[in-house]
Amino acid sequence: MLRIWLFLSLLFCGSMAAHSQPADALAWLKKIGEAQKKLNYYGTFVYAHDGQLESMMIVHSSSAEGERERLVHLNGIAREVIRNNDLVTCIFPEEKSVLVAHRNNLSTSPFVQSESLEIFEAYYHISLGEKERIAGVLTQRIDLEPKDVYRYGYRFWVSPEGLLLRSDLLDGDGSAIEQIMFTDIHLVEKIPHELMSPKIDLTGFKWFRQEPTVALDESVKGRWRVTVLPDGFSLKSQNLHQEEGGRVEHMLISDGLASISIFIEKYNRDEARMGDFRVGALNGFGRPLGDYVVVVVGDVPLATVRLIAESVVAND
Amino acid sequence: MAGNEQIKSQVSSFMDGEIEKDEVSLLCKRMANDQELREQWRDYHLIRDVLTQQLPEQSNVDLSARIQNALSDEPAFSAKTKTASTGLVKRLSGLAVAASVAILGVVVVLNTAVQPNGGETTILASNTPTSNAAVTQVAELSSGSVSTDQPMDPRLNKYLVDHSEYAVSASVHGILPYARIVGHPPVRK
Repeated sequence: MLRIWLFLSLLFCGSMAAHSQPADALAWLKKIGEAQKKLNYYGTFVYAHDGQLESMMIVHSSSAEGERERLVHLNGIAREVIRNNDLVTCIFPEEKSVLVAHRNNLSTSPFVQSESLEIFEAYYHISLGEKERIAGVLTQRIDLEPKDVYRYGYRFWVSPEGLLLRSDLLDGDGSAIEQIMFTDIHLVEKIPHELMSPKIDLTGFKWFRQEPTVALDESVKGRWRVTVLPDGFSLKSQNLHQEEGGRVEHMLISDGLASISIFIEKYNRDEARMGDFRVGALNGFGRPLGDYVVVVVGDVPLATVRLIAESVVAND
Repeated sequence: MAGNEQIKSQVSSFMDGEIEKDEVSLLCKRMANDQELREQWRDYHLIRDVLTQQLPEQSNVDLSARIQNALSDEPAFSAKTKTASTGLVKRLSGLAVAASVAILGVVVVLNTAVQPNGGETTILASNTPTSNAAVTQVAELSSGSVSTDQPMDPRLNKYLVDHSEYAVSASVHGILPYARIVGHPPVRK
């Protein structure tokens, strides 16, 4: 009798553990969004992709004035990105160019919007992994395995404060396509001013300013729409860029983890990008659409960008 | 010869942030004119990267393991690694985290010292791709030493930068899209 009770107890406990795991994992994921909103930190991390390792420095500050962030490539050419709320400055020393752009769309990430992260359970198997040390910090690993072929998998290593100290993007075989891993991290009350200032001399650099985009909504309709999206993906923003060569319509599609951009512009034979391409973890596909060209880029499998590109049609 | 060894030793010290500020400028100029010193600088960075990333257990090694294999299969690199291991590598292996902090300081100093002379960022050199076949498809794109024979592909570069900027708003963490901008040199046709 005792054995039966013991067996039933173990069965019950096992069942509880199995059910509590996704909830625990979601609680860890929620910490990520909270950490992004309020933490000040700086550190160095390794970015691995396509058999390359790159060392980078990140500085992030969050205050009543908003968010500031600076990312610097530490090896080779010192490319740099500085974000001051919605103003993004990219410095490319090899081209001696600086690109300044306004990012006028607010965060749509469910992590930052404090939305219910339970939505992920429809498209990913979510589970708690081992506790592992990253950059000297004991982190909790969270595994997100896709339930279909339209998205990649993820492994996140989250610090007790909610910082993502390591993240892997995984293909269908579970192999890492891309990794980010901190080698050191410093949480501070306030970021020293000098860490936020670029050290590169920009004398002689060409500056390119991207005009603010126009958000498309009910009042200003876009010319194009997507007719097929895999489950869980939805339109997050739709914008219009006015550029030298004409207007470019942009749509951002996301399932809360993966992001896909759709660019539609006038066909230019010299510049048009047709067919498949891949840069790092980003897959892309371009195709003609009448006098226009549709280019879709995203951190999703090639099949997904193709599917979406083929489904773009003109609004009536 | 002895003088050359002394300069090589200085490069190692430079990596560790252990040389005086007034020596930095002189060393940078030497490195700008000396291919071997630049290669030494590059190799030290590669060694440091491999050492400081705190490789996880085998099942998660993935790209990192492939890189390490590629490096160990590369005769030229293996030879240089051995040479370096007598000094820099030994110290780094015991002080992985501290070394990363030191490197941050070094890079800041280097930029300040080098930029006013114009165009000397090449001193920092580039991580030349290894001979790893698995890297071939996009290795050229992701190394810092892209051949300049091919024309730029401004349209694709713009798509990639624009996408990364937008993706930040929907990303689980803010840094990955920016890392993609910074980590990939401009794509060439």
